[in-house]
Amino acid sequence: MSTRKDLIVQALTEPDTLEGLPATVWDLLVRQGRSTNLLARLAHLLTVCDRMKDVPREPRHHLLSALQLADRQDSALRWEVECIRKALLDTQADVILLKGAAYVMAGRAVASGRTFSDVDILVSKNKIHQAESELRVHGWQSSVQNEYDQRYYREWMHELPPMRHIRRGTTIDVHHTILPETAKIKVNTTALLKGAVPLDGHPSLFVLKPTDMFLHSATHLFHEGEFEKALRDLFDLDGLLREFGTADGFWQDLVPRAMELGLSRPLYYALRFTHQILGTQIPDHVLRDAEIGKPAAAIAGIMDACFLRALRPVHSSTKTCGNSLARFALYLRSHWVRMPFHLLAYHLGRKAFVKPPKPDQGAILAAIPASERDVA
Amino acid sequence: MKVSELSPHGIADLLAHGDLLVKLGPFVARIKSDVSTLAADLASIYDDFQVQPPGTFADFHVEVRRERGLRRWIKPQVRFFFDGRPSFIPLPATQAFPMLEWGLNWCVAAHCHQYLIFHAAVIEKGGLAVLMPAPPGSGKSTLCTGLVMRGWRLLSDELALYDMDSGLVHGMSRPINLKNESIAVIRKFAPQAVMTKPVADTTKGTVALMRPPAESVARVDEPAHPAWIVLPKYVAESKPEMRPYSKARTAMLLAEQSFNYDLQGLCGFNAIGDLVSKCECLQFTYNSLDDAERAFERLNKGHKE
Amino acid sequence: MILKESQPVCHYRRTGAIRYRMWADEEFAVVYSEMSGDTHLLDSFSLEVLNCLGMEPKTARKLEGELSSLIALEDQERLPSFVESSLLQLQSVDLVTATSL
Repeated sequence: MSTRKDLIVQALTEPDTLEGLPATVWDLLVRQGRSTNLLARLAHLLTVCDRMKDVPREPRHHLLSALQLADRQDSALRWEVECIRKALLDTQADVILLKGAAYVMAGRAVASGRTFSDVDILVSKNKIHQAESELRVHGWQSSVQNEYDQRYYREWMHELPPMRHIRRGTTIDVHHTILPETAKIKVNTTALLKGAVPLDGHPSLFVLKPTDMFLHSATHLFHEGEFEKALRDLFDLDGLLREFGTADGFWQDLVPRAMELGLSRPLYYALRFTHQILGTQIPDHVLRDAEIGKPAAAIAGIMDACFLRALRPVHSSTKTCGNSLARFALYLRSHWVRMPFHLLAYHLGRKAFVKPPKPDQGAILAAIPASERDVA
Repeated sequence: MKVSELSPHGIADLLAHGDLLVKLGPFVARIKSDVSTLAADLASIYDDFQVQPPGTFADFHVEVRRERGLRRWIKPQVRFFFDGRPSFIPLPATQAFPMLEWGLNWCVAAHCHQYLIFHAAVIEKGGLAVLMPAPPGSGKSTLCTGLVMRGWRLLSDELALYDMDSGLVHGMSRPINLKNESIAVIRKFAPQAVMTKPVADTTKGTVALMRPPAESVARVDEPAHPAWIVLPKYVAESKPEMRPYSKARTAMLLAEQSFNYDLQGLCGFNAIGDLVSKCECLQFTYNSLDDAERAFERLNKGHKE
Repeated sequence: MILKESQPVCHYRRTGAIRYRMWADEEFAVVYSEMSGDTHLLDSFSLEVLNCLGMEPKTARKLEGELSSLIALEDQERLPSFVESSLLQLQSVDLVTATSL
């Protein structure tokens, strides 16, 4: 495997190397940026360091269009969060925003140039059914109709089936913990919920505190198995560390908190790969302490090989047999981590034999294809 | 260099390697295909278009490829790829060229937000443009084709690219999409028109693509000043009538018929407001292309007086 | 004597800032909501209701008082139902929020 940085990674970590690039390289950069959902982030970076005017006209249009989309999604997300807040007011539940919604509402730097679609929230398990009814009353409907998938979400996963708003067409994922109860890793959800901090200016809305926000994003990346957004998620982690790293006590609290929550394994991977792939600055003592989450030597080697390949941009320019195999292996692993084996076989087996309903051709042709649709 | 200057073998070869770079107005597409009928259709219908040299930045990398496996031989299908990723469902191989056209429309509409993009036909005469936004099935393509065959310049039959800063509208002068009865209507109205062989059973019915006039293609880089927004309505046996239409309703229709209005936020709202303010907003009922030709001529001349 | 608890009175306010365009001799306006990013086609009376409502909540009764000059004398009787139906329409598209104070 090449040790040379992929073009999009290089552009984002060393933007001064973009000067004087030929058209063919810009061509590849725009495509890699688009396929990794990092094009808008690059556009934001170039705007902030006043380099956008030096970008040739044709690629510049694509960068600016991507940034425009991200900015619009930021506004749409704020409105959506407001609608959700109003809908859940009567439950008197503490609504914890997760991932993209949290980054935007809490004003985190990583929100800039990031695209969003679904809103993810976390409520305590005893409030979840009430939350579901209130959402229904306010126009959300379960987007999953068949019984099997309903069960998959409710019994085996850690969330309600995604709900879609009938008028706005937006989707909300309501979680009661961050990993399925059936998972191998047991998350200390009580401690996680207790640590949530209120969102300034938004009564009844909360976000996870900095260490927990980072740990949750790390868990999502290293245990979810969807690698389309892996590099983007890795840049999120890098961005969070850059921002939180300057706050008092963050580095000291990180490893102990991970242990308290049961998330030392994803912490180990998060620190290891942000440091290796993106060159994120992490204090040596933290890297050492985080080794407590390292898996057994044999597994560590395999995981390294898998993740280093899987974290490359998913694009035809980086396609090698090894990368696809690595992603597949990690997909299997993530399901293994999320579900005990017998359930996994049933789930994957059934999925393989049930053909999805035939989509309406006209609707598909008119709509954005799934490969281009963003999933948070 | 134009497509017409390449030999059929040359075109097929460039397509096979994904090295055919075609200028489409403000954009460049890198096209790849292993479908021989697509190569032939492209050679015929895109013959006046400019081919760009290797090393040019391509806005879109598109491919129409034969499906593998059994589908290669039995009821062969083709699929559209955007930058190597399969997009949309596969279609019968006979629809390869229409698939390329629909795919390119999607590429522009989904990614080019430097323009406010309307689903509308745009034609121009004497420096002034008519914008014809219309939901599918309103007969705008037939009307647009008829007028283009009678001296109006074609900017687009599907995608009006509106520059909110300059207030000018741009087009790509690409092949016109004709459906069902309009194919026969145009064949009769303009026997000299060059079209692909009609392909049946698409989601839109029977489809043929018509070569845009050479002059329209040659002038593709000239934007136009929009002066009229006309909502066409084909009504059999009606008298041709051009009536004023509510500006507020026109504005709403433009917003609904736009691919990226929502993305443009307040700028888009102001742009549409300004556009309907400066244009005459009309509804046009007609029952023949000859009537339409006369009515639009009067419109154009009326503005000059 | 049993004291009847008074019902909370519904107050209405605009959900957020709006922009609108209206053309001479037309009955409809296009309205843009800065909060939701949505665009709406509204009749002129509903637009007046919206303009009348600021961010300070008002009751329907107060609105009727402020809008009565817009309605012909013979239609004054129907003013409450005009206001009610406008408020319903404006709430359904999130331009107006109802609160009980």
